Amino acid sequence: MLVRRDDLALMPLSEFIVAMAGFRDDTHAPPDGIVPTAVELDLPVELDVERKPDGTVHLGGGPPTQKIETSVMPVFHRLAVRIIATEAW
Amino acid sequence: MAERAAPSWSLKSFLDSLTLELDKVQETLAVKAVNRRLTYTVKDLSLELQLFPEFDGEELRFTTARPGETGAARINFELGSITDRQIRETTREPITRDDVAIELVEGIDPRTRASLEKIGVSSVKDLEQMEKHNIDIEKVSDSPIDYRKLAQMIQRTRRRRLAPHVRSASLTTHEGETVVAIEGENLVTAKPGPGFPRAFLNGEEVPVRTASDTTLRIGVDESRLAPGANALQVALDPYAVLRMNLRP
Repeated sequence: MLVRRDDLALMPLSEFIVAMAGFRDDTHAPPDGIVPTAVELDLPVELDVERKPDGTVHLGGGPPTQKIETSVMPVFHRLAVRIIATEAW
Repeated sequence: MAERAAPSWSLKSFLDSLTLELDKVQETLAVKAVNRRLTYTVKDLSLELQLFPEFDGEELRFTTARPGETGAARINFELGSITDRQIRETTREPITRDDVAIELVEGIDPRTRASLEKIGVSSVKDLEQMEKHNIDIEKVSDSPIDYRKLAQMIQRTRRRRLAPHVRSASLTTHEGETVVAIEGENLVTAKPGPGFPRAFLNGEEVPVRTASDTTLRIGVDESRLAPGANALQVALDPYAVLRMNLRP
């Protein structure tokens, strides 16, 4: 779940990106055969850019919460991420 | 749809936040890598935002487009990973302990600070570097800067960070002379300025025999000491004065 339903705020952007990078999260065994070495994602996103009282910015993000056009559609920004495989050990 | 707050933000604070979020991503993925032989890291990221820019004459700020708003500008940010070597080559060194960030200089007005930051001066060392290269800051900045006043403010801030601390003061004899010996820290700085330190006992100037970071010896005529309290004032430099009462 990438949207906190309790306060309707979007998740921190980092959690959203980590979720995208976790597409092959069951790799306990050493890899063999063919594995994805790079994944490029380019997707529309909703963003929360909230300025805090101290002037810093909080970034929240997530996939679109609405796909069907109603009276007012959310603003969709665009996020592209290139994720590459690395052998840890 | 999440509710968004309207206050605008600066590009710098946005990029700081975006970089912080990416650092968190890499940290989380690095933790995952402890138990997994094959893991994934974010190599590059680009973010295209729909924004409305605002310029108040000094700073460019942005607000994110909200539902129903049209005509927003599209701004694209691209972030890529760089190596340690590239970071060392392209990043300025962090402000060291003996340096003072311009934003921390006491009494500096926001306009002067903004003018200095615009020309890449963010610390006192930067300012000294400009001076070393004979760059006239008053000419290259877009607002008049009283350099002498600025130098004084910097010295005052520096002195406050290295405030004098007195551990003990006693009346003693040194090389046959009666002296007030003051022990402490940061008593006299490397460049106290011409004529400093100066000492006054009951309003009359008395000679400073020894002056260092940790010791001050002030010559006094014992016969001129009053039986009660004697006011001793020591101007260590233009920004630090010690006041104490001595009882013989």
